[in-house]
Amino acid sequence: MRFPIPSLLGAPILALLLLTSTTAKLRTGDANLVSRTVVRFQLPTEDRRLTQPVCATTAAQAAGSAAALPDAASQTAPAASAVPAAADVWNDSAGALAAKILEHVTTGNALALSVKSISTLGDDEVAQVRRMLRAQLRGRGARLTASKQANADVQVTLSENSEGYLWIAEIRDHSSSGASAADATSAVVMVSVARANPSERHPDAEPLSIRKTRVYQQPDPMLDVAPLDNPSAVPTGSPAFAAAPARILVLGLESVFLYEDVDVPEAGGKSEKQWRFKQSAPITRTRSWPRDARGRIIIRTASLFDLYLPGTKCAGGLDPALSLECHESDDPWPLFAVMKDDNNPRTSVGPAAYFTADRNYFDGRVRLDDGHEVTLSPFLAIMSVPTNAASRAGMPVTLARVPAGVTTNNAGAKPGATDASAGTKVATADPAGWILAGLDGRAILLNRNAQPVANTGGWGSQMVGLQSGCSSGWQVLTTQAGDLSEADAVQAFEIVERKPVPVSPPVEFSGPITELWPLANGSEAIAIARNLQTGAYEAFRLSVICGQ
Amino acid sequence: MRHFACRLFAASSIACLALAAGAATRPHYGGTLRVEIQAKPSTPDSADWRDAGEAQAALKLQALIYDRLVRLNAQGRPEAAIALAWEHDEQAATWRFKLRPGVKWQDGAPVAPEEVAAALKGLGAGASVRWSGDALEIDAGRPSPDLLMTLATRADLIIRRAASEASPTEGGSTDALPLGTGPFRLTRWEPGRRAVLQANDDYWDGRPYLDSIEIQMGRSSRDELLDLELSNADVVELDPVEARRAQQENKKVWISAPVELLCLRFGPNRPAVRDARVRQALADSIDRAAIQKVLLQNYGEVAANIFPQWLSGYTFLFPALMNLDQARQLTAQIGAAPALKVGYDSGDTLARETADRVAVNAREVGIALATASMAADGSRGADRGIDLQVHRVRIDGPTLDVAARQAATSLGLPLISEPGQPERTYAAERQFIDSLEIIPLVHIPELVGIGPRVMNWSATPWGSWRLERVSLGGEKP
Repeated sequence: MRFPIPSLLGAPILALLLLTSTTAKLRTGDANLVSRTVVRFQLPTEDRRLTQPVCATTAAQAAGSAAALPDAASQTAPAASAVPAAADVWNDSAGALAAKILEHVTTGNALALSVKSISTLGDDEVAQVRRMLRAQLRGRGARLTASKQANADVQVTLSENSEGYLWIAEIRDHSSSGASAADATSAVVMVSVARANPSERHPDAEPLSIRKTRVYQQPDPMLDVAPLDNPSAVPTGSPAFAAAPARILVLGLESVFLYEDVDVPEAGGKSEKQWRFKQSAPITRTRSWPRDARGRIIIRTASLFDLYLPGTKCAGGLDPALSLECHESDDPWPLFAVMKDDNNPRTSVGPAAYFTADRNYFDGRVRLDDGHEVTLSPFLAIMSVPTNAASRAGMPVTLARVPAGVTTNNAGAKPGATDASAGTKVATADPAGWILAGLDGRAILLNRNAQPVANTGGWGSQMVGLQSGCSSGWQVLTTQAGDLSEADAVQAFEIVERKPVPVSPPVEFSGPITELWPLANGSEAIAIARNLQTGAYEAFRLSVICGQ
Repeated sequence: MRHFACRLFAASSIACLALAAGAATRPHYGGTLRVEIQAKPSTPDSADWRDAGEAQAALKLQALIYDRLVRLNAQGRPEAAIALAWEHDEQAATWRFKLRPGVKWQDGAPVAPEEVAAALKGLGAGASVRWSGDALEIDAGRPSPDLLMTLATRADLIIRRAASEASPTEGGSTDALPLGTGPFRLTRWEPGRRAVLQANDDYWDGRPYLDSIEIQMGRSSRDELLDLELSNADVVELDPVEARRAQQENKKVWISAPVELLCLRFGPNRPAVRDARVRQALADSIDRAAIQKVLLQNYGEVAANIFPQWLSGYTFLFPALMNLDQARQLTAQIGAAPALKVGYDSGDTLARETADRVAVNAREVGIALATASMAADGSRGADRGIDLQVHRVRIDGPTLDVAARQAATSLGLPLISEPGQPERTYAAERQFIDSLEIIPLVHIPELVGIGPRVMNWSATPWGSWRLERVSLGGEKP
């Protein structure tokens, strides 16, 4: 049973965010701000989870009410409006500042207002705050005018410190005799303002050969994100499919979360897509996480999924509600996000590799489709070279008979491939070879007998193989070499005669890519990157598109 | 755009090509990190330090070896450490903590709740600690909404001392050294000279990537830079001149937020500086920009108040203006040109150079200011007729409230009774600065040279090194 962990914010910040008494979990921030030669301090960002409830401990204390922790059950069902939008917070703060300003203006209601920013707020946001402040002042009876006609000059500076924004007003109240500003008295008032949450999901289509679409982002670490926007149980042409909202599963360090895509109405009849938190389920582990924790969501059916974590495996369900049951396990991790047919237990799930429980790499053992195990050197990532790419890659293709009753659904196969009938000689679903990212930073090409045939350096430790309709039909997407303090990029390659050939320009990210996993459809991948500027974790869908 | 070099596979050979070994994005386990620092801490686990430099070095070591009940994340907010969760009563006077299960001392023994309770002795008068099962209850004796911050920054470390020793003074048997629950275990301690730390395989937050850390103490900045250049050290503390040289040599230099205030502090009851006009004239005469640009090699920020902008957000309300005309007018009003003496720590080059520069500025407005070295702790300053001294004080927060408490202790800033009120902190600071108890000069950052082997350098903006997150890569040619 997991114990909920509250967060404790500064009192003035929390006073502006007075919410229902729920809890939030703390995360370890990860501000690694080193550049290549010169490292400069950057202001930290707010450490808050998107749509997660906020602990009202301090606010409750300020309000004089008891602040006992809720039980775990209530933790899984936060209020939908648990975190106010930035605009609401700013409007409240503008109101508070306006009230403080007017307390110090005693000689009349005519103000000369000027607003400047020395914070990280963008121009649009500064303009928004300026509008709000003017409206709040007018709403309290102030008349905004030029300095010569004003009773007081008010200089507002939008600043920030390590805890959030700080809006500061310097008020120079002209004397009642109408003397110049030089004779005016001055006062300084301040309002602390919480930093806004990271912006909601928005599609991000890049006109490049690698399409990168932002799926989701949050302040806390993510290990994997699994879109559920094409539930296989619902035929794609049916009205039910069209009506079914997109959902995603997000695997964090302590829980798995289910979000639903909703339309949020906005002014002017428009609506904006947002992810709305639906449910979460805690992950129970008896052992501590290794550093550089990794994890994987494997969607088994439309309503069942598995989580693979170091030393732990969880079986999860989506219907009728999100559920999770975890146990210690050293089961190998499926290398492909394969959809298994629960009605046919003989469906192959593809190869799987054993993960070292207290490290960040696979120990080298790979269990093949037929149950046979091969032992490679330990690796960080691995992919198979599918049969349709084998000949171009300079790898031999092995023919075999398809055993009766066995179907294969391997991400290395072309989408839409039909099952072969028993007895037909076809290219096996077993890979023609492997590419693995070794612990020494080199990528190694192995033949189907797991013998190294070539290697290369300069690649990062994340790689996936994707099917596409372009060129050879199969490409390798890989990150670049570097460390977690540097921005990353993904580039597509094809293996031609055992040599990697770049086939796309690199697609840049705002920080290091912490994980790259293939999706079940075999033609897309999920990339999770940590934004070095904001500290947020961002999940992107990647696919290869033909042309620029 | 990152440059990518396309490398060819060998056609039929598994021989590695002669390439620069591209470091994998994922961190590697293993290796020894070689660190050099200037201070010479005599002990890592008590508060009995001789000067601020020793205190800072010891605090860095403590963070590697010991845990607290809660710790600060990179945003400066308390997060779970030995305590997994907490709740408090209506007044926030009584707090209950659930202790993290499975935490072990570095010798493998499980940590008992009573041991944690016993470690929290210094919570202040009126506070009491009780334990029951896996829960700890702290009765602060008064409303303490900021208890978590206190526990994360000032409360006692969770330490288990060897039966035979109160604190380490010699590096002998590992058994004699105190134990913590942190990511590294202290395995060798040579006071003021050397320390060796080994990775704690059972650390509750994940075994560090590094196998060990070797720390050489008492090194000069010049020697540290040389060791960095010769690849004899991986992480070194640098003074501004060496840091600038390292950057010019394309070495990686990490710069923290401004975490130290360099200021002039007037001696109490010194007749020569009792006149506020003398203090004001001196303040108006100082060319802070020159100190920041020349002595600090353009690192840090000019300061006219205590708290840097990243902590306060309102530092711009204290403009650092030099006003020679006003200074001369004030000295003219005073009449007889005052003759003053400014002291500096004899072991601190920056302090000495600052004193020299301030003396030059003062002479330009008619104040005769002589310089004199003094002991690091400022002792015997009054005996030697020192009217003011160059003072370096650590102000690193990481929140304004914590920084205000630091300033209260080190500078005498009146304590703010209601934390979380930047407006009140500003008002107190404004009054203090206007009283000319001190003359702020510059806010100084930490400067750390980082060798090419070091991957994933991790430190908070306020200067806490997170070496448990660091890993080592291959040497670059």
